[in-house]
Amino acid sequence: MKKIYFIMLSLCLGFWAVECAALEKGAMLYHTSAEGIIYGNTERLELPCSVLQAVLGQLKSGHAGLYIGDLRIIHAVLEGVVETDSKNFIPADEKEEGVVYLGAKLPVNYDDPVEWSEERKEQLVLIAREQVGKGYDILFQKQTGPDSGDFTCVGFVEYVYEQAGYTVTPLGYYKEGSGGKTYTQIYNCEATLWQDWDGVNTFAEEVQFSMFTHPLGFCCGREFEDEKYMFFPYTQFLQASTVAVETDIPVTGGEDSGGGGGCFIETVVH
Amino acid sequence: MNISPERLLLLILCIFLPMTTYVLAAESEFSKNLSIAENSQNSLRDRIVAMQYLGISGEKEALKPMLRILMNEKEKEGIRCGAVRGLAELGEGRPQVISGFEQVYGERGAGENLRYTILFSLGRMQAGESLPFLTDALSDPNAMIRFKASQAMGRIGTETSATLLIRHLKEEQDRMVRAEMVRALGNAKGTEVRKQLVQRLLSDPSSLVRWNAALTLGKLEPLSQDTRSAMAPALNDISPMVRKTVKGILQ
Repeated sequence: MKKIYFIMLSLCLGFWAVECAALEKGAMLYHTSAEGIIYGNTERLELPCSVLQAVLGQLKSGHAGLYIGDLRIIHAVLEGVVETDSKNFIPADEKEEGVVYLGAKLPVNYDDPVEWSEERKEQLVLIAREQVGKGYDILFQKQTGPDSGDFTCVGFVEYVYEQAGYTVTPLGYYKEGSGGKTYTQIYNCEATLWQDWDGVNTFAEEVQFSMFTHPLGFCCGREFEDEKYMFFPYTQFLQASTVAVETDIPVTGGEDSGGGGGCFIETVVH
Repeated sequence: MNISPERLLLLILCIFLPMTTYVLAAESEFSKNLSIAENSQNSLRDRIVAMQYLGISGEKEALKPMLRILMNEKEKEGIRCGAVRGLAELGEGRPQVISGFEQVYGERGAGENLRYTILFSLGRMQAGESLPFLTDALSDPNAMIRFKASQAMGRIGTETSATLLIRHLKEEQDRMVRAEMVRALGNAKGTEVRKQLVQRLLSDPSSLVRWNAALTLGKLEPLSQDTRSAMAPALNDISPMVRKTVKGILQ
């Protein structure tokens, strides 16, 4: 009998959790990479030098995803754009590696029913669902969609909002000067034949794309005026177009690691 | 112009050597990716990336190994999703690929994202031959399955797929699925499609569906005077999004 009461209580609590979750659908979720690091939030904007590190594997870019309500999220990971339980945003194994949840954000005017009617909020979910099944942009050549193989995590979030008529992060390419940070990195590894090699890495604070240089001159990144660029999750996280909101849904502890290891996954250099 | 035999040989070498090197390198790249994809000891990341490359390669030799990976129930869902996308991209063995997709979809233990990926990929392949399969999916109890099946039928975009969508649109209870059906109809042509879209615009109980009907009609321009007149009552819709969109179309 006690067992039945316990099961009923668990079920009630489960329903309560779904019904009472106040986080609105459309919330953008963010977390760091291992050891609480996220590119852009550190003093030194360093990229791994060694080809053995598979270049982006150690990038520590963090991750972004979209909450669609009912304790579910849609995010772009290595397996592609997938829908899953919100607790899989930071799987248990990644939490153990020191991944830190940064929080949830919504557009600044999200509580304005004229600007953000219920159908516009639902449109975000609809557009996100249309992307489910598409592939990840393993070469980071487009990053913001729209086709299969064109999305990174943060590019996916940006695309969904853009399709609903809201720009979270203005499109632009940051190379130097105001509006971001620059950092000169001295690379020295087998890729440079153990010689010093100067590269300039940047972090865009006001526009989507940050320029970076790498001794491998490798395959990845979006090309613009003969330079390679990345759209980093922390750039989107910083935008004044969004405000932080309380997270009252489970975002950690899931078993489904997804294999993504965050946004900019370990990519084999082909 | 006289060319000495030595020079001719040099010229031939200059042309063919890089070509041969390129072909050999491409073959070696293909073999490397094939080997990575097939070996289950490799990491999930490496195998998914390899399968994406195999799909892009368009090489017929990739068909059987990728089908083997897809059909293997012991493989992780992410790997099988990668195989689905790779096979859809490959452009080889279409009947085997579609049959494989449908078989895997029907597995009792097939994960939800694997099923969504299969439905999406059938649409991407414009698999008109899968219409009966997709029509069945439109009656699935899972709304997301119905959503992805509607999206796929929209990509197929034939008169038959439109007729099937219209039939299910009338019975569909979930507003998100109806909205997707309305969007999917935008890829089809014909007066019946426009008539249905206008009907949804004016009478669907959900503002999400009415708004998407308006957005879809907006993409079908130029609209006939009859269609424009029929849309006019939507200028008084209670939803500002619907009013704004219709106003933009009729102006």
